[in-house]
Amino acid sequence: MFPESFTPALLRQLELLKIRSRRAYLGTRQGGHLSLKRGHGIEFSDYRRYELGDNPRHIDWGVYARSDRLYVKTFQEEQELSVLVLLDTSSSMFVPATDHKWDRAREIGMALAYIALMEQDTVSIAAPGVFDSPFYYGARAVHELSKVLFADTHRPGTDFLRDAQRAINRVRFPGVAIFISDFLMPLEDVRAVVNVMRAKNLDVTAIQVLGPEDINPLGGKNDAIAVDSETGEEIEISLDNRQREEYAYILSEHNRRVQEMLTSASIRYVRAETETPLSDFLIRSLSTTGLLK
Amino acid sequence: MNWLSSLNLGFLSPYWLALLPAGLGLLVFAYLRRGKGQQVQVGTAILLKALKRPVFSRKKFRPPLRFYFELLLLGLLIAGGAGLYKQGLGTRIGIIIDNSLSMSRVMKGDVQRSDLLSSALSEASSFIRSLSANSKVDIFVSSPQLTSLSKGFVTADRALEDLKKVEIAYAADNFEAAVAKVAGDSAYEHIVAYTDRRAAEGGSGRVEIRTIAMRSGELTSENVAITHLALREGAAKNSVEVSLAAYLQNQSRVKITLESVTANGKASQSQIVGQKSVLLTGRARDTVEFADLNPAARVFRARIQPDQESLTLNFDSIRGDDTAYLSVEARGAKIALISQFSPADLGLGALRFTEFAHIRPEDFEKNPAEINSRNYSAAIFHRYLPQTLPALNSVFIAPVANTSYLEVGEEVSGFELTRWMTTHPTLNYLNMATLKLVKARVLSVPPWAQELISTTKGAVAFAGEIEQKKYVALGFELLPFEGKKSALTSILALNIIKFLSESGADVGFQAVGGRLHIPPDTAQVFYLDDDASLSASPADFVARRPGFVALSSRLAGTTLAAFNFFDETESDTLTSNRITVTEQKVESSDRKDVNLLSGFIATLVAIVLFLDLLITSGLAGRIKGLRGRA
Repeated sequence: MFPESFTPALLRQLELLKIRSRRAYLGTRQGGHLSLKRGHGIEFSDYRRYELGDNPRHIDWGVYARSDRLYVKTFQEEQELSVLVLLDTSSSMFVPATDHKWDRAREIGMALAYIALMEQDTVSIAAPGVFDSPFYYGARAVHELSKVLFADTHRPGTDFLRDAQRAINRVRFPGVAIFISDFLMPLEDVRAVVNVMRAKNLDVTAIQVLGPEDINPLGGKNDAIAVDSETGEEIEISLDNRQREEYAYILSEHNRRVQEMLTSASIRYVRAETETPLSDFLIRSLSTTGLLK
Repeated sequence: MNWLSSLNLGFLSPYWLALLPAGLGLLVFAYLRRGKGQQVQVGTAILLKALKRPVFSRKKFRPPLRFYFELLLLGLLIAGGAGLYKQGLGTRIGIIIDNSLSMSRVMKGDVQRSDLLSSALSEASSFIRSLSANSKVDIFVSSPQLTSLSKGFVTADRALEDLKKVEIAYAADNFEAAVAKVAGDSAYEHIVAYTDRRAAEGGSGRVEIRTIAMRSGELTSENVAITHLALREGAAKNSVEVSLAAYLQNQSRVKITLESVTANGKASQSQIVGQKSVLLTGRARDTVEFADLNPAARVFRARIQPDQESLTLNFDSIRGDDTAYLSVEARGAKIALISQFSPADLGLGALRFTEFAHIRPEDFEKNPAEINSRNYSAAIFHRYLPQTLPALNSVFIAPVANTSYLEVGEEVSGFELTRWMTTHPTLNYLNMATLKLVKARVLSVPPWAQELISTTKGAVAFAGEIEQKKYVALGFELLPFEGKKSALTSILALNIIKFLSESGADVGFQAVGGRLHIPPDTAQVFYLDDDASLSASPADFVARRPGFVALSSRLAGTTLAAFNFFDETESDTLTSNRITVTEQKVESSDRKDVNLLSGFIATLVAIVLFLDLLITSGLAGRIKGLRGRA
């Protein structure tokens, strides 16, 4: 069920990677990430006074010798990480189809889910208005998840903002969230989604997917009636080189403001162009953000 | 917007203008679907909308400068296709002014008493001023007969001068015939006629009827006129009858004043001999008699005026028919009777105010031209036809032989009347059912005449006018004149005499326009109280308006002749007869005017195209704010 871009070589490379969280979260089961939960583990956490009922094997006798008081060592437990992949399902991700933004977003989401599942993390992919997957756990869930993710029946959602907020609110255990979108929406909408994520104490990474038409609109055409896929508004446009330069400037300014807003909210940001090979993006670009290690 | 109306623009093919909205719609549609007209779906347009200029929302149509250029071009091309022309630019224009008495109408309350004729002249002046410099104009008046004041085509300035000569004529309305006559002349490319009557159909072709209305917009107004004045001589006392006709929308009281008039040199002296008041309403006819008048009084003037001012009436809108004149001092028309029978034998002596000169046919044949020089007002040829048509108003009664100008058929009997020209003045007060003819001769009707009475065997009476002379021919015997004994034939005889001599044959006045019998010893002829009317030679005098005409004799002092005018159609202000102009199709040179404006339009199109090229294409991007969509 994997698309062709998921070559065995890429999968092997992905298996070497691990999703990294900048914060520790409580998990529900044993995993590969340091948890906030104190208990058994290999990572020393702290000392505390011995209390009745504590296992005497955890008493640090050296401290007792120096202070004449009983202290026990505490350790950070290692638990699984909850990973939420949120896909932008607004029409702009589907249009134009030749840009394959929706495909690239799904591929990135699948790759990250694959990494997480291979690390025994819990993964959920939410495509608001299109589908909401349950939390998957373990490597065996990869195929089931890919089946849901790469179904041919996906159509744009009707109200991404509302549906995204609902999907995020369903998260019970905070963890890492990856928000994949073209971010070609009003900055307020982006902020609204991000704020809900932050309220859920999620460690958010934003991946902006842009297609060729986003960068160079209308392809080679100068005059056309542009139909906004989200509002249906028709706009007559006529672009010459000067206007294209102006458009490029407007796009870069928009991206800059999105990035500034995300960065100020301690959200990782990375851009993915659909024409860039998936493996290059995952291995080179995404790794630089610190999301993968 | 007066300047716009003065341009007199028009379209030869106005249906082309229907293309304008369609063309405009197409143009707007094309701009709404600008570019290649292809719809391209984009993910989102929020960034495209942030572009500064070349993005135009379909919901807000803000066309570029080029759109207006193209709109202007479209309008010009359609205007060219519709044949935009400037009306009245034709180089040869005939202007006909209706100067009949009805055009002297004024509105009550109009202090300046400006009449319809003044309005017509004012409009005609404006029209002439709007013409191009190379236009030529011929000014006509329609009454008493169609007359060119300009004597041919003149410049606009000269035409304006000629307009000042137009004055009211006391004559029957000749407007329809006048317009038809001018319209039949191909020399006139455009004919504009000013009248108080409405055209039965809108102006068509070259003839344009411009109706002059009162300021209130109404064509009708009220009027009261004196139709007739008659002296009844009694044994000891005389009486004068004043006949009135009312054309009123409301009831109104009229005061009639009768004055006895005497001449004092070139002025008149008058003395009121009676005043009466009468209540008139609607289309009432009434006769007021002033009895017990001094038999010495032989000249009278009757005047009518509103008895009391009424604020609600447009009463008496025509002043020209408010005064009538009567005089039995001067004999009326002298008529030549060419017959084997004397006037007494034929009963013509009963016509008291008409003098007859009896000429036997054999005497007439000795010098036929003499009749033309003897100052007869008319001639009656009884059972005799001269060899040539006399240059005198004439009636041919019961002719018996053919001539070159009149073919007379065999006498027929047992026929029935089939056609009766009721509108002709010779048949006034008569109708087909009352006239019984036993025998008659069929006459061939010449092209210049019209049949009066037709029978199953052919025409038995006709009347016509040629070279300003009137002729009547009857194929049956009319005389002797038997007065009341044979009312029908007597009325017909009186009508014919009145028609030919243009006089009231039984009363003491003549109709305006008639020939005045001037005695040989007359030194001067002039209108009383009007020095300017004095003619160089008494024989040249023509009575053009009502009034007293003084005949100053070297031997017998001054006698007064009376002239009156009344025409029902002119005085009837309640009825407005419509004009029907039958225009002969004449090839017009209006095309020249169209071509003139077509050339103008073509020049404009070229200029607009050049500006479009310069501004929206050539300099696109270089002139800020004028960037086109090229």
